[in-house]
Amino acid sequence: MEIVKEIPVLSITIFSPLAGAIILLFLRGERKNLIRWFSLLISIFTLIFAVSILISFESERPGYQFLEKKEWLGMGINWSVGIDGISLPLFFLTALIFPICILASWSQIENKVKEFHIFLLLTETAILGVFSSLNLFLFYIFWEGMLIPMYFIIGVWGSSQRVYATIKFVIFTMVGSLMMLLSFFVLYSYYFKASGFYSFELSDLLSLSLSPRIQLWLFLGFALSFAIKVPMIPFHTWLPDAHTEAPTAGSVILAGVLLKMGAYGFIRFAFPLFPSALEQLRTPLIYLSIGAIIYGGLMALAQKDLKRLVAYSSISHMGFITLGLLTLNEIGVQGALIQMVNHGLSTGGLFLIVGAIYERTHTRVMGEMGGLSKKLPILSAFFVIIMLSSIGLPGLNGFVGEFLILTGTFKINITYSAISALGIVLSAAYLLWAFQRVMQGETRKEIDHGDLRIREILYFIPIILLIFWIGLYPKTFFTKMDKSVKASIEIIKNPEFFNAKELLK
Amino acid sequence: MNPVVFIPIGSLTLCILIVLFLDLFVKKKEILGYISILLLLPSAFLCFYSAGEKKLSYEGGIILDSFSSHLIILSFFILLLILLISINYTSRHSSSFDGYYPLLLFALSGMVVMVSSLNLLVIFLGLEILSISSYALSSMDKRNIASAEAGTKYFLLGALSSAFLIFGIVLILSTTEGFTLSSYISILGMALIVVGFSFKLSLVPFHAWTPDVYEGSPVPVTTFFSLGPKIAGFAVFLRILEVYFSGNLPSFLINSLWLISALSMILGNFSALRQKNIKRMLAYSSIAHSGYILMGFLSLGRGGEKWILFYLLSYLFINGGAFASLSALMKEGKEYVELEDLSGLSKRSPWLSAFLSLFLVSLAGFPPTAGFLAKFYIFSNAIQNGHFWLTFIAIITTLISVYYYLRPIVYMYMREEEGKAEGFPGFPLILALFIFALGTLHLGIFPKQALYFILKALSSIG
Repeated sequence: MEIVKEIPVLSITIFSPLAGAIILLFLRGERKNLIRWFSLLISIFTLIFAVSILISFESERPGYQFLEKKEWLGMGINWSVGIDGISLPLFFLTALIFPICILASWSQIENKVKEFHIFLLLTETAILGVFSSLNLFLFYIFWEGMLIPMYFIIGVWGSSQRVYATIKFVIFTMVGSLMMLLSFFVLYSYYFKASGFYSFELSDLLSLSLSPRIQLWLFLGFALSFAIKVPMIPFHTWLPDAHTEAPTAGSVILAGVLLKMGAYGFIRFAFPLFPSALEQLRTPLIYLSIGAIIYGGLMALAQKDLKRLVAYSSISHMGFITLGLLTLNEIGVQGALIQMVNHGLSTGGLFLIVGAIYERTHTRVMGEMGGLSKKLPILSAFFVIIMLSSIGLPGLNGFVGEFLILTGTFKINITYSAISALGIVLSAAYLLWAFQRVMQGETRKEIDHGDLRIREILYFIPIILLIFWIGLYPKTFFTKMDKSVKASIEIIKNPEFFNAKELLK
Repeated sequence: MNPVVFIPIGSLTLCILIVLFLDLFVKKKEILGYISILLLLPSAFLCFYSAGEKKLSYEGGIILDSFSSHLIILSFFILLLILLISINYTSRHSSSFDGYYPLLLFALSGMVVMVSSLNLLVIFLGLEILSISSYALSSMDKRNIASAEAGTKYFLLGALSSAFLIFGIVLILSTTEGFTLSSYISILGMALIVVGFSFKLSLVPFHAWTPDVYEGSPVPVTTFFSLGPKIAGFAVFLRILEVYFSGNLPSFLINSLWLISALSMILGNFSALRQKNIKRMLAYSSIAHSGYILMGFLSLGRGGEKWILFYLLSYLFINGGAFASLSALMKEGKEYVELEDLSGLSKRSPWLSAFLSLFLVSLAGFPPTAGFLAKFYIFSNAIQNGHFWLTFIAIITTLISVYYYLRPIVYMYMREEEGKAEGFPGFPLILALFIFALGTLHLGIFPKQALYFILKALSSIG
């Protein structure tokens, strides 16, 4: 794996989907299977690189690895990427989710296949870029670059209310990102005033000390953008629509990795850049997270549409993640990070299940299903495993994350932890009830074709494997994250004693 | 005196005479378009080689320094692109286009005169050559009543704005000691010049002519209006302000430009929201973009010039591209540019829809396209010069603009029913679209060359 250190492996990983998309542009649209195979190969190629990064990542170093820095536009705008223990799991998760999405859309997308895969690959490049940018300008480019392809994926291949959902998604996201951009400008000009030269580099900006009042405003600009993406209540209303209307692949990307961009933004940018603002706003943000846990759970309980139920469960679970980040202790943050991966696997998996069921029953309304387990035993088994992982059954991945988050929360306040634990009870209630309504009881609906095909089993297998792996032996991941998490908490808690430049050596 | 200063305008006059003469005999007007391109290319090369570092001037009336020569090259480039679009359009359209190509060249000569002078009266002369040919161009589609209306409206309001402009010029020239801030006459003169330019650049509250003229004129002419007069106008405005204030605007001017800019962004973007006709929508959007460009004028002397020119250059590619894509939407010799007509276009003309989407997305300011970087630089510069609230307004209005820029995309890609519009891009138009798209992406990702071009252009002023 030494070779990985010598080539610009991050750039290759980020840009190979883009290169694939450009090649796809010139393939003939009628050759659907060729397009599918080609995109699959490209995404697997990307995955191989991501795995090699995962393996050759040195877990004893806290700082960024695989660093690349080249001047791009001048004035502090550089191509500057790197991976540390916080972004590593998310980077890997992204690369893993995309081949799964392509496989899942194999028979579901028949219309404009070429365009679909182009947008899918463009999204992959953008998300991989978000998780590895160390320059705020670059981060913004990728952050926004994801928006247009997703706009098309939801708007063109979604279900009946798709146009409404996609415009809502774009407008919500844009509100946040433009406010973030405004904060970028202000931060940039403050840095110029303080140091005499321009820089968008995260490592430079970390050394800037701002007055608490300015920090508060800038933090609000960043936090709005990230809170919309997570989404935290009250900015969550785009999510149920977007998730429900998107095609399966779109929902899986949204739930699997897009939402994590928000949480990642908090821990990577907003918290370390504005520690004093975080201090002032931490309690309200914790309330919002706990609110999301309970609200999401209750709303999920009330849904009739299976996909909408999963969407609301997503809000609840993302509440756990932000809560874990806000504990600012090692256990809580580690729990939140592993929970991001878990949520990607379990909620992504649930959306795949919903997609597979819809393909067979042509309905998403739970009342119209029922008794499917008799005809679809394999699907039903997968559903059980993924559902239990989402509920947090010990031995599966969800338990590890939620347990750590609750322990971390327990350390700062017992009440918080007690109320949040209710969220787990709620998730058991709505998911088990949903399972009962869909899979058990008497059959109400004829189904089109039988149980899962080989292709479908193939994309469930990595998810199931990882669910068990993280559940039984999470240490593989924790050792990689450990040092970086400690260092990040150190920066947030003692900004004045910490020299960020050290981290980059 | 150096005869080289007359090369651009001289060679152009020769082209005009030839095309004007041929216009009498040639029935198929698109042939004239090809001839114009063939004539303009050598003329453009001549200009390119005569442009040097040296500052050449003829009594200050006509000067050829790096600023003017770069803008002349840009004007030629714009006109070549317009010609490519026009050839496609005139060959499909049912109206006859007598005098169209000579008029386009006349307009170009106006632009050339305008940007290559320091004398206010010569600038005015150039502006009038440009305006008068524009009035005629906008009523070119003789079978369309809206086109005649556009021409009349443009002429009446344009004449009014010229009156403001000439009065302002007279007032400034009448104060023998030149422009001084203590003299009320010269302040009034400068204010009138600002009003005159605001008319020509369609800035609020002097924008009223824009939507009707943009909607009524044939698409290639609208394309020209949104590029030529705008870019030349802003460049000349920049130069006048640089000459009179050398990068240090008085506060009354800053305040009024602040207000005009804010109003243009707000009114332009909000009005565009309600439009059903895409040409009209883009007309309002061009008002808004003028507002964004004007933001750069507030930080003149502190980096503003560079980003104004960068914005103009980006705007050339993205707005030109958007209009060029519209010019292909025709059926039975008539334009179809209502939103409804675009329904399901992605199935009928996938490439044209893709191009139009790219330009719209770039107009909305999404990375990695020129539209994003242009806005980014202007906004960032405004914040550094302490214009936080103006930037705030700019960012909010950008957000609003996202909604209407994405709407045609909804119609093209997300509607099932079939609209009337059909794409007929001929080879010249495809070439133009490729150039526009290439510029849009190139300026958005690797703007180094463009910035170098701009810095060279600015080396002779400021």
